[in-house]
Amino acid sequence: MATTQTQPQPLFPRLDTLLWLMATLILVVLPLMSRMVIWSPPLFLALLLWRYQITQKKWHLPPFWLLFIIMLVVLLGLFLTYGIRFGRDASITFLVLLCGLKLLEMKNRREFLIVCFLSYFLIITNFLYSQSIPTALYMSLVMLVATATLISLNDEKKSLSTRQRLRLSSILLMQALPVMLVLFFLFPRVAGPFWKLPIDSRTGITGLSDRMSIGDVNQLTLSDEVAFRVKGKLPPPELRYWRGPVLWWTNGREWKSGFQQDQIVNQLNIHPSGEHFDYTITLEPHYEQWLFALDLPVQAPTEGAMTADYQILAKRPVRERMRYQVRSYTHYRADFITKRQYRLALQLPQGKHPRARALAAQWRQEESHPEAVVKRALQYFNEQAFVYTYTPDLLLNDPIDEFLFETRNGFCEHYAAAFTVLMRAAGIPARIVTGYLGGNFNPIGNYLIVRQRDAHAWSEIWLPDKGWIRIDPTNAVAPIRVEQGIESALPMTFNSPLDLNILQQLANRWDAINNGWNQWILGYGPAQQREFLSRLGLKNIDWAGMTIALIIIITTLLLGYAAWMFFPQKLVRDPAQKIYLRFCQKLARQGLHRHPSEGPITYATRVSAARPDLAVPVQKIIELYVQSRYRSQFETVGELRKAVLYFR
Amino acid sequence: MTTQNTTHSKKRHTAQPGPIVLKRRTIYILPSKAGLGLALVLFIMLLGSMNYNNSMGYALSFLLGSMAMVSMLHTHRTLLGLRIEAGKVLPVFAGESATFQLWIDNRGQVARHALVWQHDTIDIPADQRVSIDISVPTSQRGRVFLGRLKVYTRFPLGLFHAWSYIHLDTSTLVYPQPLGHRNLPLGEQSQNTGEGSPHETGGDDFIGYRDYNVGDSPRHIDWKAVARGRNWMIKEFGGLSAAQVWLTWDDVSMLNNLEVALSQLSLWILVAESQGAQYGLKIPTCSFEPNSGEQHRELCLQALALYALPKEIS
Repeated sequence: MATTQTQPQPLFPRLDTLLWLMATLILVVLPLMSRMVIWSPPLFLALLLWRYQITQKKWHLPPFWLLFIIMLVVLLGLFLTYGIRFGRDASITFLVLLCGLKLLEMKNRREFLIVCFLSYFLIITNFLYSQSIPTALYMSLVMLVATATLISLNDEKKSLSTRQRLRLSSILLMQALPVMLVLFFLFPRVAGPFWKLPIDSRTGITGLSDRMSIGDVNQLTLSDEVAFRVKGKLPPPELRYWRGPVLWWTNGREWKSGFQQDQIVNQLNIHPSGEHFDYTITLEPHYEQWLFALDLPVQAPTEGAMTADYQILAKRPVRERMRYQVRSYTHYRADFITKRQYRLALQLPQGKHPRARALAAQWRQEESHPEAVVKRALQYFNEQAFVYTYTPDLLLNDPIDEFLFETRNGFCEHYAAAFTVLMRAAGIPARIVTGYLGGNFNPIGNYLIVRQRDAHAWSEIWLPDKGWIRIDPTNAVAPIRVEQGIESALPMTFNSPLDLNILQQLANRWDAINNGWNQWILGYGPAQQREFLSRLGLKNIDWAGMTIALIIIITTLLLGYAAWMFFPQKLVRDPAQKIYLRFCQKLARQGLHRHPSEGPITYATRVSAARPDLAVPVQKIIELYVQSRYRSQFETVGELRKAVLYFR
Repeated sequence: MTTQNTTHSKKRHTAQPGPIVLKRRTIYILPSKAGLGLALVLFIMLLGSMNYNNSMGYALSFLLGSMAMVSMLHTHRTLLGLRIEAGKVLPVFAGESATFQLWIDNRGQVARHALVWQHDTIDIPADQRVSIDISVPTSQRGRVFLGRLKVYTRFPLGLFHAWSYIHLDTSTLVYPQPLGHRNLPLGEQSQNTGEGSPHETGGDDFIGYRDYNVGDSPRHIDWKAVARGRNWMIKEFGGLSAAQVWLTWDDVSMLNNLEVALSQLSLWILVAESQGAQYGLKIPTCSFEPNSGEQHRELCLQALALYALPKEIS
């Protein structure tokens, strides 16, 4: 334990090695800081600074009880922040602070290595949040510094400069890279998870949720995060409704599915007509079960099943990128409805939305046919001063009535919810469908990208003779949103179309690279591995075969390195010797050959005796040569070169 | 990793006289404790990556593992091709440490770092050679061998421990430890007063000058005179200058133990030499006529060192 030392002996490690370790820690913790509790990054930096002062000013290491108390305080702080259930963020914060505390206790090689290895762990925790290309590049940089830290520790004579350490570290990393790639692609992959993932492992992931509430936010953040990518045959943009969770139940403010999600029905009464669309979706993990498909899919892909409200649900929450194929029809008749569904589709909270109910009742009285009521409602949205905006006013008491009759500004959720309430009030079964609308086509990768900002909500009504019909009330307010996508419906942010084009092209290219990265690197799992191996001609190889192949390839690689590193030690004469040999040649031309066994000094003496006129320059050159070659005075090499050059 | 002269004979035949070059077959390598620690960390990281299906986690674990494998080659190369040669070593008295000089020659184009020899850590730049001193404690007279030495390194990452053994055939004499309580036996020819220790005869007194003889101790040369260009003169001290002393077996025969007797003779030689006396040595194996000087002293001590020891040692 770190108690006070009676003798002021130099503290391990030396300052430069300590600085390397601290640089690694700071670099690795930097991207994690935004995930940590507000008080923890300053505390971490303070611990680092303390340790720096200890080594710099030769202070004593803090006593163990003090570290123990700090540790207890940290645990208490984490408990107060995160509660009793430690999730991912709490664990990482704890790990980071543990590193800081360990630094204050560190006084030998073993403890130094523990901190080093902890920092490797922290690198990997970064990947739990992001595995993008920039993150990967940044972490390579961290690896470079971490490896240089280990080199610094083992360079016991401290004879390597910072540059040399980084150089050696990058050599090691570059040599490791091919071996790593072989391991990455051939190491037998297994499907996880083995144990339960921490509770907050989906924080930081934006996406749809299975509930929506109206009027609580007055600022919708538009996330550029990709929801999924689609490749294949697609309908025109205004028909690209990507169907997601369906919401039935409402309390007047909040909407949720309120329906047995797991009820799988075999006969769903879908009667498609017209053209069909076959396409492949690569879905980003959203930690929920639903799989998106173009409205309306006729059959669930093998990875999922279709519910009674035409949602496709995966068997398990989507924790990793997932690819599936679907067939959809944009023209269809789907009229599956149960009694329970019928009741739910007319459910409204008791005593809420009086004005909306009154309006709907008025329409119902005036119109004989439900379709006419729908038309009246859409007309209402279109003709009244409704505004499509992402910064709506807050709705405090009765969101639907306030929106319909007072504020009249909102985005798709407001319109879908208000419309659905109006329909239910008019006695027409209706539900909200959430999902995405549109997407951007990437001509470079030839696929469609659907982002979180493309999230959308619309309504479906049930008519006895037509089944479920999609009605998008947003279309009545901002048709451009439906036809041209979200960017067009909002004020332009780019100054000129030219900029837009170049930026759009760059963005497309970047996304195409990202897509490749996602498909081939991040999405590389057991299935992809089988596909990859069968492309290599290794069909039906089991894990034992893979392991053998792996060992053979890696051994070959390492032997190759060994051959390259161990043998080509071509004897390059040191510069001083080269210059000396040139000098000997010059003298030989004058008839003064050097005997093979003659040392420089005896040679010079003999030459001086034979040619007293050359004695002065010859002695000078020999002196320089002896100095630079035998006394390691390398700075005289330049002088020697000059002297030999001017020697005639 | 050194062997005392008692156990040398078994291992001696493996010793090599000339320069030893560290070849692949003579370099051993195993993971160090840190390397095993990293293996554990890697295993946990790999398990975590599998659990989270985290591709970059896999990539990082594999990169670390690959780097460890590559570092094994680098650690091996740090020792590979080093050429080790024995340098000079001086005789010592038993109980002292013999200092063996070794030259380590790096003829490669890559600098070698953090080579550990016993307690020394050295770096050798590319295409250079450096010398190190290895001290070997002695306890018995005879011959001390450098014995088998271990050199190891953990450079660059400390994950592997590469080592090699060097067994150079180099040795030096160990003279008997100069010990004893008896006074210098003064022969009949002695002009000094019979018994008594040499110190009592005023051995530190300056007596006069005499001509330099080959073999005289340089300590007694009158350097000031030499500097002035005069002849080399020897300053004579003490009263034994003209004395002739025979150090014979009979003088120590009352000491039952052979080693004690040899120690006593060893002490007498040193005393006689420092007094500038002419001393002769007569032991059963050989005899040296009275003389003085470093060479004579070394000859006598050598004879004592090797007295009654097996031939192969000498």
